[in-house]
Amino acid sequence: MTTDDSSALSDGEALSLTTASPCFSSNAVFALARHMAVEYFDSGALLLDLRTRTMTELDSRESWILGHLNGQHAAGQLAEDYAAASALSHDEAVSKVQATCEKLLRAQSLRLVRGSWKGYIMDLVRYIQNPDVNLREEDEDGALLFNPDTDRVQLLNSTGLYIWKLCTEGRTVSDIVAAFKAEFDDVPEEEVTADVEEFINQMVDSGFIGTLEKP
Amino acid sequence: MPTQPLKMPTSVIIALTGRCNLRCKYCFYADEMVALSDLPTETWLAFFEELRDEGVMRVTLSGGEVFTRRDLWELVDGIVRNKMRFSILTNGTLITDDVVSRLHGYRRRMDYIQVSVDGSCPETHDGIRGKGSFRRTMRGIAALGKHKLPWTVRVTVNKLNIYDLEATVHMLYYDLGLRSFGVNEAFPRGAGQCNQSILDMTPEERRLSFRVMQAFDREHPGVASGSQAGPLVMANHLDKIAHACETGEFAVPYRTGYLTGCNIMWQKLSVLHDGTYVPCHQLPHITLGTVSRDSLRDVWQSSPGLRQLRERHKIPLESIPHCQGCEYQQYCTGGCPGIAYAMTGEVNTINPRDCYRAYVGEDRVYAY
Repeated sequence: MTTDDSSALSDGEALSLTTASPCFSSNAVFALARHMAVEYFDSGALLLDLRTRTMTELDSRESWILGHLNGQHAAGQLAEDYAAASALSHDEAVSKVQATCEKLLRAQSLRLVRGSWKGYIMDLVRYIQNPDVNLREEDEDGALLFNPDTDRVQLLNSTGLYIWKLCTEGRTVSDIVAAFKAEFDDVPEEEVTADVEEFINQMVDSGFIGTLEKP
Repeated sequence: MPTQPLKMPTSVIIALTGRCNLRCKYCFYADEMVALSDLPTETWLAFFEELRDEGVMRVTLSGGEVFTRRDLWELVDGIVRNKMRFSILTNGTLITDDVVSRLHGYRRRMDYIQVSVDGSCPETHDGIRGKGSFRRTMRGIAALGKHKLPWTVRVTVNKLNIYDLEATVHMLYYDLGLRSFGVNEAFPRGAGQCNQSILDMTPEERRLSFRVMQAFDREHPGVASGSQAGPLVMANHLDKIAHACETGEFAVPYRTGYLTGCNIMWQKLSVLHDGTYVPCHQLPHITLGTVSRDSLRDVWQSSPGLRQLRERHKIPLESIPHCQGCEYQQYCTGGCPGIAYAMTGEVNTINPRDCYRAYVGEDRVYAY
């Protein structure tokens, strides 16, 4: 589910990039957001946002990079590949891939498949429960989620249930990690961040949690 | 067998109405339920909210005939709004193109529409369900197929259609293109009990139903497995016992030697059309409470009737007078408690139709 439910944001509020530029040894693996369509040409590509019906033009270099953001290769590796495929130096290739990823993220054209784009994607996207999903709490140690549209069931342990309940309202990964740190003592931040990102990505892919975005 | 039930049932089977446009000779719901009144719309809608809050995932709507309820769409809206999936059991005669168009709007939440078909031709089907019903049921099925809705068929075999059973399953497979359906035997309750003398198959006829279904299953494996009981399930179980007697090999994924033939009391709950909770529509005399007066949670977790029924699996067959000394106990589960009650007046005993000793002609009481 992807929703642009503006009721979750106050008037004029926009999700923004609030942190420093990402480190480019990034293990972030991106793919085209589900609400985007793309048409490639010799000279570049046109991106169409199916929600807002707005188009973004990409030049041939950006088009090459987008074509390789296919949910399989980490962004850091992609920069290496781009340097090899183009006549650019390594630093120039890194810069171009980084700039293209940022441009596409700002346009909300990408989704994070796995890995992390630290301090960046974490505050760009807010996650919220799919309102059609029902929670069934079996006992203190866990619960299951039922998506009646897809007939899929997701088992949750107590940690997953805690995250699910946090996502009653739109929450960034940073929000969730901060809530964890406040609730539980002695949790290593990096480990928690990685676990939360993995859980959230899995829940988004299976449609139990959606992303709350506003251009 | 579970040691404790789920916190809540996963599925609830609701008889939405006691009204029906047909008068089928074997209907287990007819006659004895006629004095009860249908619950009003708002009570069902409030109940659906309760089901959502308790995490129930599916609702099966039956009757009576579901499509006689004028507020049906309002009720289905309530199910969908409350985050559940649904199925409908119907005779199919009221399903028109307009009805299917409405149903199509709920397709994402629909498990299946199950239509009753009791013969390959009007002579057989109408002989059980009333003149003109075959033509109208087939019209309903055609409409469901045209709109590609998930539909299936239940055949209820009895003395009035046993000699048409082979033609019926072939019609479903070859003419209607159905790839999943179920066949069960008529249940001796309600109208089915009143008409038992004309519905009960002879031992030879019951064996014929086994042969027909096993032959069809060999040709088309799994297609006729849509019923958890009935001639195919029974025939396969009896074969396993025969094989075990010959070879000593017996492997089944359930516990035997006790009254373990039914699990419904651990997973599902049923409601009559007046709002009475029952463990199963085949056990309507075990009343557990009433919708809107008693909470689903209290009924599921605390009602004495369900507790007793959940103890049933601890009863060894050796303690049942009829089964004492039976050499086949080790292979037996006692079968459906609903049929056991309908045929013997007791819940905590075996279903005589499932008795292997009777099947091989060694029983003093039951003939097969």
